[in-house]
Amino acid sequence: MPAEREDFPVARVAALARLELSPTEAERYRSQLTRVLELVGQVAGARFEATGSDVAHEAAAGERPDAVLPSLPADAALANAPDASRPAGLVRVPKVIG
Amino acid sequence: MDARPRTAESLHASFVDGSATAAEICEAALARIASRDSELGAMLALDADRARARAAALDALPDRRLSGPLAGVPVAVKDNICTSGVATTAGSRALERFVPPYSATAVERLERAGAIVIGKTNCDEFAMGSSSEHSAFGPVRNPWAPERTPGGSSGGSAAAVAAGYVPVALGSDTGGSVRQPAALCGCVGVRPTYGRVSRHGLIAFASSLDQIGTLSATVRDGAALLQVIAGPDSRDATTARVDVPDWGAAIDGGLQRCRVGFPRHLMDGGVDAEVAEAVEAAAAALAALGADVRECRLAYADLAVPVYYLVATAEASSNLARYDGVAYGHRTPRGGSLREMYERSRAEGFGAEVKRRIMLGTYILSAGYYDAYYVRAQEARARIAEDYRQLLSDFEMLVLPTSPTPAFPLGERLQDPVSMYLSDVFTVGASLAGLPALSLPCGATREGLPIGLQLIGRPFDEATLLRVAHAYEREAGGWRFGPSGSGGRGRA
Repeated sequence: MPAEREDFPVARVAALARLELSPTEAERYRSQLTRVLELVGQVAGARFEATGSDVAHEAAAGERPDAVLPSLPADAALANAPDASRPAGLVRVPKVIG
Repeated sequence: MDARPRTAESLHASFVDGSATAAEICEAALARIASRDSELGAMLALDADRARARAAALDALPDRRLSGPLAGVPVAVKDNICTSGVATTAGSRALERFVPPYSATAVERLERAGAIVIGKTNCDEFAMGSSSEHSAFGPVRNPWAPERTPGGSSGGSAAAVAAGYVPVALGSDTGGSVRQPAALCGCVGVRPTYGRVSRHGLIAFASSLDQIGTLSATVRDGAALLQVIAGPDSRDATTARVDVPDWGAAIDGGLQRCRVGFPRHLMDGGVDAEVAEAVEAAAAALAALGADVRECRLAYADLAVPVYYLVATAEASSNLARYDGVAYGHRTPRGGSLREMYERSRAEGFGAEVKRRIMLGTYILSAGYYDAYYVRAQEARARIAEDYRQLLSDFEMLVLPTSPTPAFPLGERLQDPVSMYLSDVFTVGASLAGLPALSLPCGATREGLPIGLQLIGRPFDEATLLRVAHAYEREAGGWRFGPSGSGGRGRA
């Protein structure tokens, strides 16, 4: 159970979320998100009886045959890549293996 | 052709009877945008060449009566809905140079119905916001009061309709992003039932809540737009296999003996006095028209905002993980390792509100917090949905304000996320419960700012909402041109 009035752990969460933050940003978000936690925290302390309700109207949704359908051509899929080799059909990223 | 703004119904009729060409209609819309959008900032991209080509093709048809139910009608599309070959940024630097290779199903269906897509509308980044100030490309201003916000996140679409650029526009509604800007801009906004409209091509924010919706000058125009985009789609497994009724044919049915629930207690605190007064008057007007209006109680209403911001941000943190600078979107020019590339690309691509929501969502899904926040929020969501289900077994619809205040000044809530989140207090409930809801104008403040009335209906019963809204709209004096002479519109 989270402690009450806990400061939002910006550095840990930003690392998990893959976000680089400046010290100024980190301080601003810590303060703002600590107040947001107070708003949403009232749910964390509550208890609810189980209900049969769900928002997904599952009875209405259907299944479709498990069949292969046409997909985007590789060229179209690569057209928005920041760095791509179209002849090879690949995107380039920084080297990860030495 | 008369260059003043007109309804979609009237423009389509003029096109079909030959009193206006699609080219004239298209040019009039482009001229209105050119005359005012440097002030309002509602449009992010115009697709004038393609719009003119489509208009010319419509004018060349041998028989205009067979040209589709929206033939000749100019439409604007929120910029988080993909349009093939036209930049789709979702209001974000992360997608500044993204050009989709396909169109959303809703856009395809509009074009098949003969509509002319004029351009893309500004919005809060990735649809996260209630003021349209969180766009990387500048804020949208309210046509009724340019120093105020148009609401959000579909503020550009609402402003485009309110300013008379187009009679109808597409928006998206996750927690109220169609209804709240409709209320603040004095137009009609429809959030259909979850599953009614395909989300194929809608840039995802919170997938259990996102729905494409409509903004329009009149209820009848909203029904016509919804008619075209609704229905199952094999490319979106969450679309429901439910018949789409002819909403236009049933819209004149009136509301005799319609059972309407009015949760008046929601207005006990924190609601602007003029908004409360207008909503009370609207409920009385519905009763005078023959509806059976009775007070009711939404027991879990005060949990709706916290639950919404837990569920929506958890889903957002997951959906937006895809923006890593690899396959599309912004990649940092600063280089670095793969991990540094992710962190820098996302830091440079996302704005402050998106970062806040990603961090909140990441936190509540993280080890040690998931059960206390996310699981509890799902339980509370089910309880809220059950609350609505029970009420809507007694009533055919509920009536309540759309927004607790009229349009607020630009900048007023920008640095205070909690205050901004509370703007959604009346709209998030229907989103969490997956219900259809509609906002329509119900008057104005003494300062002349529009006020919105919200109707919430049973699953897949948009017909009742449209019928009741249309009857109220007619009683309230219907749609007319506004007094400003600058393209705005008003209501009697």
